[in-house]
Amino acid sequence: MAQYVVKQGDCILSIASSFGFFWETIWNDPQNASLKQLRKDPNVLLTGDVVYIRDKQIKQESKPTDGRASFVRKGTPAQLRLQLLDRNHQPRKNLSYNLVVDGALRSGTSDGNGWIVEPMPPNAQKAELTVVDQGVPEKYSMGLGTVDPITESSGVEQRLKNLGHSTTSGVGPALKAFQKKYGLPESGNPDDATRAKLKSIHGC
Amino acid sequence: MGDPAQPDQGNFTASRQSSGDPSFSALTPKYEERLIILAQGKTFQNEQIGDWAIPSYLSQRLSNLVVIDDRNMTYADDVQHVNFTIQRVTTKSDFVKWLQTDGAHVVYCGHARLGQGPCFGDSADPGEEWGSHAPDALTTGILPSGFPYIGLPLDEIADEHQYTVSPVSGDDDKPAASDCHPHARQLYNNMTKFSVSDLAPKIQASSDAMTALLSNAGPNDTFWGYDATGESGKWERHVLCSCNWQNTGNPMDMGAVQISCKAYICIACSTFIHFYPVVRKLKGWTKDGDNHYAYWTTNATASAAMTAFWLYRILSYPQRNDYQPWEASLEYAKQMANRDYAGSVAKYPSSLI
Repeated sequence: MAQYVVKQGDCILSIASSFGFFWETIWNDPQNASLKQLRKDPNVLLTGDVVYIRDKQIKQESKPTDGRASFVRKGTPAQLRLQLLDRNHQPRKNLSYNLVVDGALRSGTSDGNGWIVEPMPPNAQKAELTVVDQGVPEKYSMGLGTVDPITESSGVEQRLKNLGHSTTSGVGPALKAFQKKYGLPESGNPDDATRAKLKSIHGC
Repeated sequence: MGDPAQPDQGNFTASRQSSGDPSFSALTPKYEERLIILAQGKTFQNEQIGDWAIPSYLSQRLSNLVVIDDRNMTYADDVQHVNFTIQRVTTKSDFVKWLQTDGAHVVYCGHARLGQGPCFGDSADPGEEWGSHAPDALTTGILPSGFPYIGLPLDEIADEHQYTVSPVSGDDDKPAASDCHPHARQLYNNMTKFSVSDLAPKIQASSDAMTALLSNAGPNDTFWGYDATGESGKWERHVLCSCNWQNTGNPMDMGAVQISCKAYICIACSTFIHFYPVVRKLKGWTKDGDNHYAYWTTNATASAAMTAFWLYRILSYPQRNDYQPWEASLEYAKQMANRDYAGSVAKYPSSLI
């Protein structure tokens, strides 16, 4: 059993992949029960979290001498699921895009609900998205696996930024604007209701 | 409108998903960030301007205005695609700091002090904060920004506001007309030398008090001056004062300020006459493409009302405006603020130009 300390950009999917496990194997390991209880989402960890990595188990297969043995490694598919929203948090439909994930280009059009869903390697670190709206390109640089838990102030700020709120004057004013938009008490503080709404609109 | 050439939206965060995981990361474009500084001068601070106080005037009209506190607010305009940060300041040093800040939209609301310059301070009482010799001159008093020589009414100096001036001695040559404020220039041929005894009967203050305010004048001193109808509309005796700001060594005058803000809106009485020739010509701060805009007032104006109209119109410009040149929205604000003003403030028929 090894302990792995989470770095920026890690998630259970990427950690499991790098150690040669399915993500469920790691996430559902009883040794990680407290982490699972704390973070709830296997793809949203915090730098410094500790993940227990079980030892590899040797699997033996009996085959006849000189026989041919085939082994198929099961993949660990990962996706990047994005929803393009306008400033009123309504879907931005049918926008053409180019998405470069760790150097690999994919092109397409957001669907009728603003979705972009593309496969990617579980360890991909960076994505560059260019969306064209009314002929005007918008470029977004994304760190993959970098969303912090909503319980953290950094996670609140990241989601506010992703949702178009300026934090130039601090997180408080951005939170107030978000709370105002959704009819929440305008405290400027990340109370439970605000965190829940942020997570819901942001998607994770 | 041209195509808005948007820069990179910047850095975002996203999570990875396994197959079948319904979670996602939302992406929303950012608006352009713009900064507006409202510099409220002496007796034009919020507690002194009633209905025109900011942010209350704006929050009654803009539902998206987020009031952080009574000095800071933000407003994301969904039509312009601009996120405005508005900051209210009340000291000379803050005003100067923002005048020297690239990209800032600086609005001065206050007194012109008969052309001497913007003036700051918390108190409405008479005293040195009304002049350029305030004890705490870094934060209060006048920021000298006018013509080098200005004729100041005696009762304004000695009775109404009671501040020290630097009168031009009768022992010195009469200053060149071109260095004088237009009001003094008009009366240049009437300029004469006044003795202290010529001045004393014109004011209520004691002779001793007056001579102290004339930079500790002696009883036999004379000063250049003239009699004329002043800004108050009364026939008054004026004493010509040195208000120079060039090469003075004073860190708080127009000579020391390196203006670099993107727009300077000077809303006080008759700022087009008082300051436009100084800032634009003498100081040489000229418009440079989509930069260094300046707006001024004609005539005496109700500064707080005009300022409220200006801010509201800037924030509610009805077209997409992100990453666009500012001229169209500034001109719109000028026209609409003038219209608002003409429809509501009859006492001071002024306009922005």
